[in-house]
Amino acid sequence: MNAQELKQYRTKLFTDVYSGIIPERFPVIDGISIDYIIQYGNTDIMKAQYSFTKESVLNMYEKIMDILRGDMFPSAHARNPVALMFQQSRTMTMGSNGFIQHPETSNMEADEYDEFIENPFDFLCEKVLPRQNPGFDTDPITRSLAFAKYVLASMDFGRIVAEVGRELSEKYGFFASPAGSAIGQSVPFDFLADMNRGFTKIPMDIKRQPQKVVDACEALVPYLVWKGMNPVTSLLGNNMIMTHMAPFLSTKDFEKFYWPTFLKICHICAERGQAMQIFCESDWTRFVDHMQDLPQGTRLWMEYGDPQKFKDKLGKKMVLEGFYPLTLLKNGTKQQCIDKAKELIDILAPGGNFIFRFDKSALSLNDLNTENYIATLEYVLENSKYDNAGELVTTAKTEDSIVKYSHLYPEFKSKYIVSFDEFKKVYPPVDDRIEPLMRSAYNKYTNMVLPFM
Amino acid sequence: MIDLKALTASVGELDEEKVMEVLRGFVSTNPSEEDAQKVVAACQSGMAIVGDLYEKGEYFVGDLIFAGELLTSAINTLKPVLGTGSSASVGSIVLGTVAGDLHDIGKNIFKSMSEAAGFVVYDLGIDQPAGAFVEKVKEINPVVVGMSGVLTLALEAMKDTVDALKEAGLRDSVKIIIGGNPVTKEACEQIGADAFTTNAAEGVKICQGWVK
Repeated sequence: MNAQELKQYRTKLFTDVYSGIIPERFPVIDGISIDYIIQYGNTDIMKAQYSFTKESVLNMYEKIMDILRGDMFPSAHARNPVALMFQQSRTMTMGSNGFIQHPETSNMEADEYDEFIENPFDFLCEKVLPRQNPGFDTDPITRSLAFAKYVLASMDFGRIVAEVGRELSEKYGFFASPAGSAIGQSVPFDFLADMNRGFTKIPMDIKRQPQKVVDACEALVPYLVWKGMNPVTSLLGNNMIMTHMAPFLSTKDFEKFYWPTFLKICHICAERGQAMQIFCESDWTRFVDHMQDLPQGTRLWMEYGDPQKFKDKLGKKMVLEGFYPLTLLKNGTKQQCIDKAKELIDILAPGGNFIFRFDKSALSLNDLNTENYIATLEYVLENSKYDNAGELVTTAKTEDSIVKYSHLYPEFKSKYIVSFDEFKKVYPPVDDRIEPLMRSAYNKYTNMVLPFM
Repeated sequence: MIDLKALTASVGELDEEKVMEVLRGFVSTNPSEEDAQKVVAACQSGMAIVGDLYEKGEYFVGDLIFAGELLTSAINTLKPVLGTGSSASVGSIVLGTVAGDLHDIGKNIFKSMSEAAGFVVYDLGIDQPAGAFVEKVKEINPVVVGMSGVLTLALEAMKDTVDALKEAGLRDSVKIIIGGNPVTKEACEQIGADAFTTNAAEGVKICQGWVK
């Protein structure tokens, strides 16, 4: 197959799986992060991140092609230290080894819940962002300059990521989601815990002011739904949820604080035709019954847990990925690595709704023995064929699995997000001829900047 | 004197209101320092219950974090009647998150549970180079060195730290425990640590075994 044919073939594999059809073979995804790719090219990771260019990133990817075997382009998306520098971010910082991480911070006080619940977005803009980013906690002029530099640096890097992804997907025939159809989706409890109160403060709130936590999660729904609106809705795209705190909560607390708004966000996305991709951090086996209520076709990337139990309970309804322990590729023998792949394929592949993927992506060179990695993926690819391709995974219909919640929430609004109709009252067009041009330009640049808030 | 068993049980149940009410009542009676130490010990025993319930899967990480906060509030409430003398330490631990890693939640949970078990903990903080561990071990001469990390690359930094302790001639004078998401039996052997755990409560028990 030439690259174009390969791309079409791979796109068909994903299209089938995402549509609930048994594909010719199950798709396979590499387990390689951008951090690994930088190091694989013998590049100084610290300096490389501060000096990304399209050429430097293309060069790194050309080298990693030696070991890639999967069907999907491994995204070049990375945390951008240049943007973080202008933010003076406290929530994303570089360790002494050059890896950017999310240290524990608390950016909201226990007695600020009422203000938060009243209008989460305004509170985030006014209080939380300056605390997270001392670069924005200055006089208005300095803050405006810092924000402009942060947005420009982010957009420069975003353009590199997009161009590299597009070029290499074409050149090597990778499947890639259509531009604008894949987006990060925050969910209320993790958003409140990770970025606002902090992982170590939220357990106090659960005990001391439980109703405020519930109310804050509910108040976040309209904003997070709006924030997760991808410009392009596509079966081949997704809203990606990176979960965090669920396995650290008791089941009772999970049911009270975590799951209700999480589930609603997923259904609200599904209502507009957008599938979710959920990375279930740590072990979600305790929550397997709760997960049966997610919309049909939700893609679940599991880190740990009992794959048989997930297959039995969710295999017909959800697409399952993950479970393969990446650490085995470093410590195991080649045969042990292959045996593990066989074990998981035997459990998860029958009946479809399966994509082969590792439990996490390799971060440092030391995470992998590349011989094991290649041998495992080649074994997986050789054993990925279905003899009943084209059959339906289930006769159940996706639309019947979606519960409508969107009407229960008000439309997201903030005084900081001004429509053109409002704006033109203070800055009217000098002539009707240019009103549509002004409107178009206004919306274009507003929509470019808002994601950075 | 208050009912120490009931206090221990309340700490174990994470019943903050009851614990604080009992402690405030106790402090208002202007008790002796000796009695105050008994009350501290009762609270610490409550932490052992929390650790056991965590190991049984009845409590989760969120509960451990809350328990640490509860114990800190309890000791702060008792401070005015504790006097200057402190209870005897069972041993000392030099603790830190290793070089390159910025995560500290697990380390902090282990710290508060170790302190509740009577250890004196010298916490170096996050992203600590091998040299910082070596210097502190020279200074304190602890029983235990605890290294924490979340990223897989923390394992390399743990090995570097153990090697640095060996080079400084300090390895054989301490027990080394590693903790965090990526640690395994194999990693423990490669690193040259004495024990590993992904469970703070278990980690404290391992340290207690070393000072018996």
